[in-house]
Amino acid sequence: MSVALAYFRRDFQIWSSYRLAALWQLVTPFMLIGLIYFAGEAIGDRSDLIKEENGSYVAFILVGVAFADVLLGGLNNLPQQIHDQQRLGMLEPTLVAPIRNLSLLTSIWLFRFSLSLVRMTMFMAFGFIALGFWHSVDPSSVILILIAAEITYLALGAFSAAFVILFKEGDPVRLAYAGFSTVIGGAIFPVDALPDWMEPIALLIPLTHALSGIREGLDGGSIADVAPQLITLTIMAVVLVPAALYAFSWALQRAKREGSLGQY
Amino acid sequence: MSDAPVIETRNVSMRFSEQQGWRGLFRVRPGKLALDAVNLTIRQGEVFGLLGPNGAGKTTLVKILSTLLIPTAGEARIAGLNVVRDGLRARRRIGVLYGDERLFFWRLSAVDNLMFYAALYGIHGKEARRRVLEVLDMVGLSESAHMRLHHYSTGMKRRASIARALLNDPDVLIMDEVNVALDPIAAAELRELIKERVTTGERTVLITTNVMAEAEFLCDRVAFIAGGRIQMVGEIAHIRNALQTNKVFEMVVGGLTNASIEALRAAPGVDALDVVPLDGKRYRLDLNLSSNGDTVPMMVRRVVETGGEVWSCGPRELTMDQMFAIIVGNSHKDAERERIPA
Ligand SMILES: Nc1ncnc2c1ncn2[C@@H]1O[C@H](COP(=O)(O)OP(=O)(O)OP(=O)(O)O)[C@@H](O)[C@H]1O
Ligand SMILES: [Mg+2]
Repeated sequence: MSVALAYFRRDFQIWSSYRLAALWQLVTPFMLIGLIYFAGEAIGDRSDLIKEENGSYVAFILVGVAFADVLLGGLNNLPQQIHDQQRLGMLEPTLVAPIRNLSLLTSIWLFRFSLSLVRMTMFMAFGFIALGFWHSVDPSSVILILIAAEITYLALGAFSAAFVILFKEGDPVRLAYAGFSTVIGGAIFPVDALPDWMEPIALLIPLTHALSGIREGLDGGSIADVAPQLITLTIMAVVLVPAALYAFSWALQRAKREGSLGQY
Repeated sequence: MSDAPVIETRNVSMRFSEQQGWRGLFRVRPGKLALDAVNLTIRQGEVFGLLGPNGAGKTTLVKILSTLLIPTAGEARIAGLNVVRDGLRARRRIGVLYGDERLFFWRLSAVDNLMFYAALYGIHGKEARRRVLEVLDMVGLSESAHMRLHHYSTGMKRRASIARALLNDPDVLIMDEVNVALDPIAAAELRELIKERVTTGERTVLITTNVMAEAEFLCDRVAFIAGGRIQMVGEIAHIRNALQTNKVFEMVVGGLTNASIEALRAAPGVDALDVVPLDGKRYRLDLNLSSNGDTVPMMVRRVVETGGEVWSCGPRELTMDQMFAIIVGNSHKDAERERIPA
């Protein structure tokens, strides 16, 4: 835990030392919010496809974008950070320190995750305060779903990081998967709107279950109401986490045997 | 110094695979043998030098000891801990420094950078701060502790790396080419600092270098490595004496005729004499004497008696390169040895 805090502190120090970039990162969500708002208004009421918030597409896409950012961040950040650290030459010096793989992974994830939480809060606050959405929210079901889904995505991120360690290049599976998830996982438009044959594929994607559970919770769904999504995500997490940790440590061992650890 | 081995390698070999990444998964083509059955035993408190030319395998061995590489064969132990099976515990006991590493964020101060690394070693809060300032003081960076590393010179960065390696007060300190890319003055200063502040007490230190003077100044014992093999282990003075059967002297002389030089060459006790013209008037005579320095006063007298002048005279010790040439040459061909010194 304290290792994670040290990473957080350092990542924050570096992030905030680039003042303009930091400022920019805090401003862009506002621009995106504006865009979403006007696009959503133009599309208007789609209660035929969207059941929450009286079929408001603005509410739908705000949730989709805000949470997809947080969750897919869990997948993207780990390989990205590992790659950056290899490039900076910092991976080896941290690996000679006595830290465990799990600790390393959560540590390099923490700061980017926190940033995405800040962005998510901005999106949700806009919907909640300015547009009056989600006033009957059940926070406990939203948070539980979020935790289960984030852990699932972190595990996928660890797989992807293992890939980067072994093959040095951005993992194509991840890139395809991340884009694909957003499209068919219900972030931008409802899964119901997909062609029938795609719906089973959508069910394999954690984002689908996460967003459906989160939307239900935001609409007042209790933990019992979101139990199906919660159970599905928990099963995914329970299967993926040990497998991902194994893959990551296997990749490290292999890189240590072939001497490719510091290369990128 | 106690007799317990703190760093120990048994038949450690490292063969890097030719193909890495994708291709390596399908076909393993054995690549270069970077280490070939290396056996070393370094005792507690020893300052041990690993000397070798570029590509000898020094960094490879250091990385195996610091758990960044897993050897293809053999076993390495740090304080009794197998570095492969017990890597995590072994890492707690070691501090490592690579000359070419970029381990700091230049936008952050030395203190911030080191606070981060302290946390990786389980040192936190006030204790971490105290330790960070302590190690920065040890390497003489107290004054610039809060300066961004951007503003550090290469020498200061190197000292900051030493500070980092000392954070966990390691039982074993490994320094790979600590002096690389430093100017001679900075290198000499750093050497002093290492001798006075770092290689003290019970700490076992492994230093790799290809600078002989550094090894002589710092190390109790050295091993020569070339082509991935340990060629010779021992105290430098012993190794030098063992190698230097012919004493080599340099004498700068003037006012000598060819005939008198030939007479010197023929004098008893002189195995070989090379003449190197210096500035038209003077010559440097490289004398290869058969036993030791006994012949030197006689040689000086002869020069003076034949009307010459002696500008300077002194022993020339084998340089690292020469010792290398001898050691490596020996392992191939014993005859080489006669020709190489001088
Ligand atoms: N990761 C690697 N993959 C493949 N070959 C490597 C790798 N690292 C080192 N080698 C090879 O292994 C041999 C030993 O290299 P090493 O870096 O250990 O030498 P060194 O003694 O540290 O040399 P230098 O004085 O140049 O630092 C070299 O021939 C080098 O090309
Ligand atoms: Mg090296």
